[in-house]
Amino acid sequence: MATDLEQWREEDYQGLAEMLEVSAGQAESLEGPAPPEWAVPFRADLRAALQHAVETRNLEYFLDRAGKAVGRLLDQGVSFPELMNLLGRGSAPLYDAFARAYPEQPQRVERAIRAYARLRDALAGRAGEVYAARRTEEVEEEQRRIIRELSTPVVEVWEGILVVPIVGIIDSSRAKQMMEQLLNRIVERGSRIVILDVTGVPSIDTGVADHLLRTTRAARLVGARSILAGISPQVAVTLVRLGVSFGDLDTVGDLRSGLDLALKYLGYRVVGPEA
Amino acid sequence: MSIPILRVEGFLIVEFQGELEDAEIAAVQHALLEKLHSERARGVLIDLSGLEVVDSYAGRVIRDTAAMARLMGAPTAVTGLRPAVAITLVEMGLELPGIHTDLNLERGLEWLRATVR
Repeated sequence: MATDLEQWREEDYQGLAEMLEVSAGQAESLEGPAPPEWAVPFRADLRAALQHAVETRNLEYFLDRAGKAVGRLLDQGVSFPELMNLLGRGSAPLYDAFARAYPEQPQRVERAIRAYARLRDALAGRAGEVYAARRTEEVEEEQRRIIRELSTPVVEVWEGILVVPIVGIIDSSRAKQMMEQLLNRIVERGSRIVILDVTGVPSIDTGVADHLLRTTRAARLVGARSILAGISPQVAVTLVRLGVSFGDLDTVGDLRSGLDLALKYLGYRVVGPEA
Repeated sequence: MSIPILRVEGFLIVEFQGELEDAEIAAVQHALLEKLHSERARGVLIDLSGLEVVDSYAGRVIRDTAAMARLMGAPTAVTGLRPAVAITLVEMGLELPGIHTDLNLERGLEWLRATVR
């Protein structure tokens, strides 16, 4: 935290206490234009927190509670610029009111104003930290979501035919997510054939083969037949050496052959272009 | 509550719905096989579209019932599994081997008609 709390001295707390006193009851009248609806409880909360912080000489209490209040407002959808705008409002009228309250004591006024200005800086700093932490979280979550979706697209290439191009490494969490996504899509579209294209899978071992098999079994239960496409010569060699068997699952060398087979199962006949 | 067994076009149709008591499932298995035998039905369709979850007991009885009906010579289809139910069955190793499975009741019926024709 960038707030130099240990530097808050007794005189600062006194200045803040006086500032609270002067602004008491006239907080609203010190405002310029009417504040947004959410600002009223927020300001009341900050004021109560500051009161307590000044009484106990514990400014961290105020900043902590303010940070949480800022977090709640951001959750409610209040934007950060709106928030900063509110926090920046009304200092000048407050300073004027203070100066009027102690007309003969410029030092006292200066002390209070200095403390108050420092308080605002610390508050703005804390709000900024809360906002930045939240943004980072949101951005990361969004990126994770995009990667998850990109990693297993399910494409309807023809009425009744879904293709799942699998690229990269299949671990169990990805396999599970792929299965769920595929099954939902099959049910939603009423698809009859699923082509799992493993051209982009660098190597298939027993574990990966098991994930693929489970996916095809689940797909069958919701009424879709699976075709495994894209078994390269190297993969075929590995699978046979490992003793992995896909049972009676249809396997073909490339996606094109998979599509041919799928169309055949559905009773389509592909004819060449018209001469 | 007993689960009704409907007869349509000579096929027996059972629809599993809601939360099933173990005894109900066992009773319907018995009733279905009896009816299949006495009425000489042409095929069996077990529809699970009303089932949101399935436990290992229900999964086993459904699998066994389908296998028994098939043994008695009736083409048997299980239809309408929800994705979550399908995944659960596969995870429990109850993937209904040798039984025709289909998206919904309508497609299951189409398959039965084509099979007995």
